[in-house]
Amino acid sequence: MRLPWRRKVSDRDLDDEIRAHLAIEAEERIASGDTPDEAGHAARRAFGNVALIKEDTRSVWQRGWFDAGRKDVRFALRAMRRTPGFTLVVVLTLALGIGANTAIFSVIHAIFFEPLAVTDPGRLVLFSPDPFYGTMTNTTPRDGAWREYSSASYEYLRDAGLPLTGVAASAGNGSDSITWHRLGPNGASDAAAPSPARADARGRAHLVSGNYFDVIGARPQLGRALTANDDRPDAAPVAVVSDRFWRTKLDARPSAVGDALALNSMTVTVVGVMPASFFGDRVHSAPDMWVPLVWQPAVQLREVLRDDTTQYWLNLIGRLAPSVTQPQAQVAATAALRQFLTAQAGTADAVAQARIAQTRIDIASGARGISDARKTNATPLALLFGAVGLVLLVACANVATLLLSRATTRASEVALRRALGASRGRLVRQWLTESLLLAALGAGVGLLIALWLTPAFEARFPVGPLHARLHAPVLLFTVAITVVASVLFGLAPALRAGRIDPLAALRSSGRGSRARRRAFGATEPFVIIELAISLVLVVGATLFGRTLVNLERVPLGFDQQDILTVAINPRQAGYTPDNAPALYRRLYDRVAALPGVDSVTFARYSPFGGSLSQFSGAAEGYTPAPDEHVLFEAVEVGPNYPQTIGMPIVSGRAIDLRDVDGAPPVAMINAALAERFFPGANPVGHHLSLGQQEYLIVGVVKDALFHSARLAPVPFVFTPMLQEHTQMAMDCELEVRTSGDTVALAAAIRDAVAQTDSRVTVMRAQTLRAQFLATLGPERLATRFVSGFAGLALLLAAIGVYGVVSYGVSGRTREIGVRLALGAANRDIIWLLLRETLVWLAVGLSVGAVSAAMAGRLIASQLFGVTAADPSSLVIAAATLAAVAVVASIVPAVRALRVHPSAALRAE
Amino acid sequence: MPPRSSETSRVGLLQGTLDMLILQTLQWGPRHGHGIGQLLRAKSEDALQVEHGSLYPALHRLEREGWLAAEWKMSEANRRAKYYRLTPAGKRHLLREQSRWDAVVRTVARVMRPSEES
Repeated sequence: MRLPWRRKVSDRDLDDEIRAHLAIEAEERIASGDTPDEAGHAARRAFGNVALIKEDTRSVWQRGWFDAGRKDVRFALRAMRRTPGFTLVVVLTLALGIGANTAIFSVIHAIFFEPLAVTDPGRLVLFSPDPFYGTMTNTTPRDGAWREYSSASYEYLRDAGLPLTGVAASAGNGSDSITWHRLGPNGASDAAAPSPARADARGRAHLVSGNYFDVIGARPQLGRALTANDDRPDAAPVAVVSDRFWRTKLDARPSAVGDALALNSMTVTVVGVMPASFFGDRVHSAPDMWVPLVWQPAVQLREVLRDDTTQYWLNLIGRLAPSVTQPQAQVAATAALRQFLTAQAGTADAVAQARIAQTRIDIASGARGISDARKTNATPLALLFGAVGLVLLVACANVATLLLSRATTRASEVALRRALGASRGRLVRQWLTESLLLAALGAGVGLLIALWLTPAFEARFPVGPLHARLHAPVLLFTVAITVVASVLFGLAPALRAGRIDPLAALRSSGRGSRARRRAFGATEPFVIIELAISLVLVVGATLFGRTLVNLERVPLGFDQQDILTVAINPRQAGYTPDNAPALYRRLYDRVAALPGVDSVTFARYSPFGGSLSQFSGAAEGYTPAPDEHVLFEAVEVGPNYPQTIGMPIVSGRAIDLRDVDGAPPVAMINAALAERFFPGANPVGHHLSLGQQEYLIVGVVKDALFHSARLAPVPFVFTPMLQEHTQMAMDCELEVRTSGDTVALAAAIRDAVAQTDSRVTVMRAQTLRAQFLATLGPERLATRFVSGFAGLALLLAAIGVYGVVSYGVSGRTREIGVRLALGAANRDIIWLLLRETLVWLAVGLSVGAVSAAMAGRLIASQLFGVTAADPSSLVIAAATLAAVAVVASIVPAVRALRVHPSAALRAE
Repeated sequence: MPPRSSETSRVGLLQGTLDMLILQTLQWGPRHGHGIGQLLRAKSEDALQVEHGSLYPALHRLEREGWLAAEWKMSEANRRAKYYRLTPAGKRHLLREQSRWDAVVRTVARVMRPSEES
């Protein structure tokens, strides 16, 4: 096989060889009596198509299609260099589409497909039906599939010999707020230790079992991880810290291993530092440290949970043994749990037995950890992905029209090549190569755009500790859509080039209006597609925009603007359920006296703050149906809660300063509870119970929404915080009504809290309005991005229409000149050109409207206050699109009129 | 040009067969492309007028496979031309192709002959 750099020699060789053949043939003919001229011509004729034969002979030496491809690429590059402006427009158009798609996909990949940075994440399993943030509960799930586990059930499962190399547990509530400070070498507090009131000293610790790191498969970068020996009551307290904590708080010293830290009131020794890529099994910012389960009381500042078999506070994670499948593990784990429950129940009666038989463990893959972000972001991201895909389609349609228009200018070149012997297939292949090359260039620039866009997307999506990177899987996606795009926009022009009749093209002037019109016949469907897709996107953007506005305007049942909510942390300040309510009372009095405060109250949590608390309950006189489970949402509140918040009192009175220790337990209920459980009667004076505690109903308030503006109000109970002495008293937010400056007031409240008790800190302060608006993040995101993409699609469609119309104008210069010379008015010419655009618009808008209606069904669940087929949105969108298309057509039309008729007539 | 017989007609050739014929013509010494074409025409009594579009690609392909070797020499008319000659490997390939061709011819003849048994 000849080597490539020898090719030049053999090319010359071949030329010489054929020239020699022709010369010999000519000489023979001269010998037979022809003149030299005749002989030369006859020899050439007898030989055949010299160029083609040379081509075929040369191709014998090529390594098959690789060399042919190289030639196509060289040819394509030459063609692109000849028309730099055109190439630039095409490449930029594609770059926008490909870049946006890549950026969104990188975010999607990070949130949905990125595995945990541990050894062999594919073998990790979760003991829960789906990966979600566990919490803490004291009941087992009604459908029998366990999510949280008690210490007793965990230890049983751990030792039950399941086909897993290990079962580990972690606290279900994620991490706990703690205070810490460094201890000097002799165990005494560092002189420079910050007081607990400073933010520096706050941290987050996650309680995990001793075998947690072993099961998950994570290795520390310094020191060692936890072992089972660390999780014993007689062990020395130790902790493993995260990379971020080590860098920011321990100065990234290698000697940090061995440091002593005071954690709440306990002393722990740092034994290891985890690598930066490890954040635990929850896809969230890494906690500052991991601490063995056995130290739970000291970390959570509450009673021991281990001994209470009714406290389900652990999430379990396991690693499959080699060649064990998830279903096998599921069967084994379920059987083990049932054994545990049977043994625990002692003499099992039929009811208990039935319940145990219904109990099961659903094993889910833990390879990607537990992520809240996945559920909340699934639909918005899917929508964005769809929208950005549509933008790419518009870009492809645009490029297709550009290439089709260019096919007619290159008709003579194509015809020549056909005449020289190139086959149709060869030409189609060559044009497809050009399309692929354009797409590749577009992808290259698109990746640069993606590099810039990805951080912008990431900033708006809670990707958490993960990073949306342009790594192998994402690049693979880019390559895939590049190839698909090149086929989408390249096939039609390539086939068109193959169909060009060489004789007709060479004979005609190449710029006759009939030839031009044939090109239009091919571009029309693409322009219509562009218009249709743009309409769908603009309608989508309009619907999302209106949804957002509607949501922001929903009356929530309380005053959002004037209420400041201030969260404090009595737990870390050392309070207990016995004395915490007294603190709240003191704060209540002090804050009420501040200037600018109209009224003050407090509550365990505030609306749209992210907390939820539910109890099983019973209402006096209400018998629930056999399978009905009566659930109330319940919040502990302070005096004058409804008045401060702005919830109207429908009947009775609000909870006030009379409802303290020693007084009868009372409660307020909302209208939804009253209607459902006390229909027709006035509930005031009746009783209801939450769990075991009974309350006298003293007031009914109007419904308020606490969690979602889209859902209907649920039955709600308000009980007095000042009577509360369980763990429910340990979380508190002050709610302050003001008509003045909330920022200044927040500062004043901080001071007041510090003066009341310097150990208590304000964790956050914001208006209820701000808190509510923050929950509309996904909707705002969807609106912003879909609007952005709709704008992009509109721009591309405008460019497309402009391009096709101006091409048509330049092809009809002569015709226009003739018409003008014959006395046509400018108006008539413009109308002539505009007519076509209007036809495209009509078809495009119809197709688009139908598509929008169908697409609307997909997003209907995301909308609020508008239907998917909302007519006014459709009209607005259609009008916008029509305006854009008309303007894009008029500009080239007006330019056409500036041509002097005589110049047009002379043009050929 | 020698007169063409009115009874013979142009024969179409498969690529493999052309290769074999070219190798055969080179058994009696090296020739250049023009000469090979002439010899084929002469030996087939004009029935074979090889298209140059097939001849030159075939020659180069045979050279690539190593069955022919080429060198530039001076022709009879003192003109520089590229001469092809058979290589030992080419000779072996020719013999193989000859026996294969014979087998094909026999098989086809057998089928085409009317059968003598009923």
